[in-house]
Amino acid sequence: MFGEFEELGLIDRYESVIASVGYEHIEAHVLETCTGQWGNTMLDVLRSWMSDKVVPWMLSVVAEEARSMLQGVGSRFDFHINKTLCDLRTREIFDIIIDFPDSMGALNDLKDCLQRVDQRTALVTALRKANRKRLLHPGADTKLILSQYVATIKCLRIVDPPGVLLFKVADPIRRYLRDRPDTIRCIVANLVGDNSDGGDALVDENEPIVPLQQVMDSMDDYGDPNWEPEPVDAGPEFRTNKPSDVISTLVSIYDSKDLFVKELQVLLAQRLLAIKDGNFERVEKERRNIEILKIRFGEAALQVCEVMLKDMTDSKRIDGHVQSQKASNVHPTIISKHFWPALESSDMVMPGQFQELQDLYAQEFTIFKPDKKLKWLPHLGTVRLELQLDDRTVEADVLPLEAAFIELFSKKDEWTLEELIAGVGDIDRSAAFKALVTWVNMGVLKEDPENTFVLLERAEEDVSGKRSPEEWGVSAGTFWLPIDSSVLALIGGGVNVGPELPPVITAQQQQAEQMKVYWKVRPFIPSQPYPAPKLTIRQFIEGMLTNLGGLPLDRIQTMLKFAPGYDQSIEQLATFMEAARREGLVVVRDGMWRLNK
Amino acid sequence: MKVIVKHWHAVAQWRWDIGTAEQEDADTDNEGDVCGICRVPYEGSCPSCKVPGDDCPLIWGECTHVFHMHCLLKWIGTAASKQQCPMDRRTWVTAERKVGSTTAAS
Repeated sequence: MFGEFEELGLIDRYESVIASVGYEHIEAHVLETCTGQWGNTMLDVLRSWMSDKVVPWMLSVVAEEARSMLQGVGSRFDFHINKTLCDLRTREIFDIIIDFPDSMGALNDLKDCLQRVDQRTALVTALRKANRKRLLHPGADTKLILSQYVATIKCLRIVDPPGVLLFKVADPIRRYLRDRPDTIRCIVANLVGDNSDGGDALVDENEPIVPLQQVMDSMDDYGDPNWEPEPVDAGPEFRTNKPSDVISTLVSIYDSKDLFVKELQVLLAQRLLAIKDGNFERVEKERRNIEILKIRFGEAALQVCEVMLKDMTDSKRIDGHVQSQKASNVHPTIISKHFWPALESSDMVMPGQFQELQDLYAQEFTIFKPDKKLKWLPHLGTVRLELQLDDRTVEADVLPLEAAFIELFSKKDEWTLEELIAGVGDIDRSAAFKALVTWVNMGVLKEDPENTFVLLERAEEDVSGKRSPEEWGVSAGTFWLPIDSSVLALIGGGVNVGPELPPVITAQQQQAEQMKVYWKVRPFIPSQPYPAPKLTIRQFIEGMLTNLGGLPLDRIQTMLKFAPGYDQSIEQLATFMEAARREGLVVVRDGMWRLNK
Repeated sequence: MKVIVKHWHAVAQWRWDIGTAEQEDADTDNEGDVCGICRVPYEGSCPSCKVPGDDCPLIWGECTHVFHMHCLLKWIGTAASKQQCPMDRRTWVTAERKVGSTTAAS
């Protein structure tokens, strides 16, 4: 039939129709065979399919004489395969990244296709859109976003080694992560190998540990003989991401690594304080961790962690000595105040025998170290108790507050909540309640009537007085008291802070605290002879911004230097201003800080 | 009921025994004093040390002023010091620490 067409000269006329039939066939075939098939490269399979199936079909269509022009058609079909596959993979890119490293084939395909087809912009747009829709929303776990980001980095490095695509895609993710409060926590938890929640480690075990590269100061090395111009589609802000390791990339989300060091300290403090005595291997494990991290962050940055570890060793030694002088059941961890993250303070006073134990130990300590004294942090730690009741003995590991309460009950069998709180000093009512519930759940106490607790010298069969933990809104077992809800919100997002971790103020809180001190408490007294009203630095900044309108950060810093007692670096100022922005006091536009009116 | 403490893993901070009257106040507002020379808290380490505590001890003067030992020795070592306490310009005399006396008194 085609022969006749040829004779009639129709082929030329309908060539485009025939070609479009071919295109459609190719598209259908590619979609059918390749959708969701990411394990192997499909491009070669498709090419051989074309030479086996499509080309013979074309040959049957096109007469002998027109063979020569087939060359052109053939390469057009090949291009079409590339394009169809590329479109398909672009649509699937988000899932391909999720599947990494099982989707290596698809990525290699994509790389080959992109060399023939100019679809890079489409890929970036598609991936950015998918990320926005599926990843960067409040429903996604920070840990998840991080691991997807890491996978994206790895994938796009395969597709596009110079990193232009990566830079364009990564930017929104990085910006989003920067706004998440628990990003640092997540990264740091990963650094110290805290994967108790079963998540994947972001860092490969076999990735060599290298010092952090500060991406910021990577100036172009003009003397580099292997220098290559930036790829054509690189934007003006593009910085060549030298193939740095994942951790460096993650850390570079933030402008300074100090934040990480601070968070690391908090995490280390939690872990060290949670260590039960006699488990010295865990201290050794932490020490190894810190040694590794030192390679990344540098020796000086982790000096504080070093002191914390030394405190652990010293405590053990001191305890050993004190025990040899006078055996005691108290085994304290003695910490150097300024080298640990701010611990929640408490006005709790341990009653009865606990007070005696503390005093005895402190005396013994002062004899050993004549120039030093101990200041107890009574709300931290754990106590193992044995309660000898009429019909049974109860042994339990409890928190100091819980221990304090039960100690009170050894004097009197019935206490009201108010009396109990008064008995242990000034503590939070809800915390007190939670501590008492622990004993109620153990069947040692009973609440009867409301807010009055009675000791059960004899176990009660009737458990109706025992409310389930859910009813109390308390998780079963021990409960950590002084963590306030904002901390819980901070740590809730993905990082496992189990109930065994003591309350340590997170770095964010510390920062806010610092800011308050700096903005509100520290007085700024203008050097005027008459008794001037005390101005705070905050008012100073406020006044500055009111008088002069918007100011860039370095101007504010320069002007603040005139204020007496001002010793903050510009980075610290930036943190403060950022915090002020979050509180809605100021706004920033184009690097100019203004009052929020 | 009898409560028996089997094991108590407690947490404490150590403090230098400055032996001054403000000691009690310092305890309550939990802001430690700073060394008059380097302005670092006594419980911190002097600028040339990295580890606080026994490795960077304090030195007590007869004039009741207390400094990091390293800070004071450095000061005394300079010619301008004339062996005087930097706070009150009296000749520096290192106090004999009467062990336990301050704790007993307080």
